[in-house]
Amino acid sequence: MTDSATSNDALTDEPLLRLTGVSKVFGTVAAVKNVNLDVRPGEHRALIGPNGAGKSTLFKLVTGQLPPTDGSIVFGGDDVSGWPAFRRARVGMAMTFQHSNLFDDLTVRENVTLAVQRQRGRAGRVLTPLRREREVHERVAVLLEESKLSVHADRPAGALAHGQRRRVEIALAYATEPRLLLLDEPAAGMSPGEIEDFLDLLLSRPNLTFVMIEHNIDLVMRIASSISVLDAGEIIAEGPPASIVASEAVQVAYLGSAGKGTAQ
Amino acid sequence: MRWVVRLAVLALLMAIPFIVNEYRVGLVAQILIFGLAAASLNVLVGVAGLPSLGHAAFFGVGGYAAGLTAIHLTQSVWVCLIMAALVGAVLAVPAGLLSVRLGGITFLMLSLAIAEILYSASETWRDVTGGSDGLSGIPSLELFPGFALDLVVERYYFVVVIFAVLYMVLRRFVDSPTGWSLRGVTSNSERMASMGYDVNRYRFVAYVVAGVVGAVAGGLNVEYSRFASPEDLGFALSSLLLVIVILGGRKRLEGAIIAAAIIVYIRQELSSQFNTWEFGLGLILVLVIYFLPGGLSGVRDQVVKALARRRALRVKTTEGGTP
Amino acid sequence: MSDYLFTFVNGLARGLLLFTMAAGLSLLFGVMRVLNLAHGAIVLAGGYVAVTLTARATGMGLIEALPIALVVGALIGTALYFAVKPLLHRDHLDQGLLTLGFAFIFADIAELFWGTQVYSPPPPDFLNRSIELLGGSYPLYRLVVVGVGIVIAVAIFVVFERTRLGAILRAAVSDREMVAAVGFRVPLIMGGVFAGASALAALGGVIGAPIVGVRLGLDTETLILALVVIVIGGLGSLKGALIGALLVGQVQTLGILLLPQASAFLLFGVMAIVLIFKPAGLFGETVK
Repeated sequence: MTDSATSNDALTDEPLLRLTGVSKVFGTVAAVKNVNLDVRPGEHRALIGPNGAGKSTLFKLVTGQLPPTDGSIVFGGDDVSGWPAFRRARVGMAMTFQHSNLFDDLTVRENVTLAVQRQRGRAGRVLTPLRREREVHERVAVLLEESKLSVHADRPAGALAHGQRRRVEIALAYATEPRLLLLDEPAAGMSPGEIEDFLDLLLSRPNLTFVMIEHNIDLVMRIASSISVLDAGEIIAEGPPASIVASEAVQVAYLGSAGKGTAQ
Repeated sequence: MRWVVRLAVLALLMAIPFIVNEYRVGLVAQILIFGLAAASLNVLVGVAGLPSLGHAAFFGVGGYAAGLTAIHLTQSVWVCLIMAALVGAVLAVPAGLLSVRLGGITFLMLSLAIAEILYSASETWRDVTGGSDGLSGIPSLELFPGFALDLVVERYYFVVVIFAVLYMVLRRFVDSPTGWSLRGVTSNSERMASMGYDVNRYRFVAYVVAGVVGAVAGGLNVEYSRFASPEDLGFALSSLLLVIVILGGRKRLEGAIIAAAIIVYIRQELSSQFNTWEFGLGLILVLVIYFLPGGLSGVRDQVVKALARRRALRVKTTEGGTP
Repeated sequence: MSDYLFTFVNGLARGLLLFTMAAGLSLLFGVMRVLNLAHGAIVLAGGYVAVTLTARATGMGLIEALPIALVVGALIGTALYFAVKPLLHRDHLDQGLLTLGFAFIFADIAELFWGTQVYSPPPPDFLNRSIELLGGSYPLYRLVVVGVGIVIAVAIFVVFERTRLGAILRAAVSDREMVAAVGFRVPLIMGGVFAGASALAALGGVIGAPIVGVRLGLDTETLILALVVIVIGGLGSLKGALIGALLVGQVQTLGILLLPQASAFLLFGVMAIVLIFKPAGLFGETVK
């Protein structure tokens, strides 16, 4: 299992993530239909589309929370289609959840420690106390500092404000040293100030590849290097932000229905 | 500080035979044996979040393994306890593989069913187990060839030593990265998986550790009492152990020991006066669930927190700040 | 050959009895996510109702006991509902443990009144005989148990599948928030399920009393069997509970006849095999 930080993703032109013909059928409803998607190293991809377009389902297929009905998912050269979520995480896939999903009864420090001890290969140790894993704790302190969470380190994660919880999510993801970060509506419910803090943290690793589901179009235009548009389970457009906004199909499917005021 | 308390407790346990009569020494031995079994159950219920209502399966199987070894193979107490641990592991591996992926209430039911099946097996296999009469004729075990643990005091000291060692092992396990991983799994298993944890593998490790230590506690019980019976595998003992864990508080290992002392004492008093004590056990359970959801260690934590808050408040007021 | 047939009928009687007892347990879990570990105690309470009424030698005791046990069961169930209600937001284990506490208290109180002996209350006089069947003689009452068991099972399914109440319950099993959101009076439904499940358990206790032997320990034994049944069938699934109960009934009778030495492991074996291939039980949903 390759742990990630040392890999040379940025030096190749191969896609880091390649979805080929990926579909997901629930009962009789096809939530995701024959999706092909390439994400190159270093890309900041936004995935947009109206509610119910299948964005979150597609994410879950990529992270392994749901098994695909059809198609293949290749990540960093490995066909991970049949892998459980934890194995995908180990080869460098990280995610933040749509509704922040932390260890609410543990402190912020403990939250981050769990992520770090796993990444450092210490999580399986059984007879040495965790408090003696100095290297782990040093790394935790750096991550807390970086995400401006040091002052909250000893509060239970469940007691934090929304924006702070989002930063814990990112800290947990960063702690795993990901090659690909999947963000499911990270800015939802944040105040403008919280969004700025969040973006500072997200863009503090400019080379990190990420795919982001986001409804806030202004935010998408600011940070995305390319955009894919999903509608009714299918990719209907893909390209740099400027061309996507200009695309007629997108205006009809997404911007129009989102009531952005684009003229019909 | 931690070690001062530990050494003080150990010194007290060592002094017990000089303070109380032989009968009470037996009660303390029982507290330690049940306390150890309950602490191992706490690893499962409190740390790994797997509610077992069948932990007596391991206790009983360990007891029979130790007893049968002593009768048929060797009187060496070490071999007997190792056999208890081995048989505990032999049970824990398949049972764990089957049940840890179920989780929650299904796990609880399965644990109960496994224990119950072993209970009826121990009654049916009369040739091996002595059936419902129990396994009698277990000889005194030997610390080393020629030195049998005959006297109450000798057997008691052996219990104290094994208890102390295994309690420390459990303590270490709970404080280790794996112990913390288990807390994470209990808190949010989906999140753990997304960070690369193979959740069921950790649950399985906890299951086997709890099972093996529970089995050794059962072996220790046979070393002390020289008797094993189907009751050692029964529902009554499983619930007793679970009540000890709940009373002690799921979050802390040491709570189980204190709760074991309380429960064993109450059981003793009620049984001698009324010939039955299930009423008392039920009442304790009901009261704890309603009024002490965190158990004794929950009370302890609240007291500590309240004291800390008062101290913080006092510091603030002396600094002249407004609260 | 008639040996096997009789054993099969015995198993059928046991299985149907078990379904009467386990159906409520399963539904209670499905609708409320409450594991009622006092369920076996309620079965035993029904058994003691039968014991007490048959002791009066009217010849009808068991039949009089049926409505009384229904009422007693419903009352116990209602009381349990109010006892569990304050804990509904807590961990499921806490609710289960609370009912376990009540079961212990009940056991000691029952011992006070009925002691530790085994009672076998007689069936009503007109059913208390054997009939000729395929060249053998078979107790009529067991056949009646099979018949009554089928009637009860059909009644449960009709209520669950064909009535408005059943529709609400089915909706509640699959999505409780939805039922609350639609505005049904959830406390009433939950209290009703508790009362109904407990009434059924007590009823099973009465009907089974002449066959199984009413005694302390029957509560735990029944509880464990019922739990095995709903684990095999899938939590919250009535169809699963029926299949599971019939299976366990046969394993317990036919299994003992065929493989007496391994009988203790048969039940476990069946459950283990089911869980290996279907971790959520035969008809359970895979979601937790």
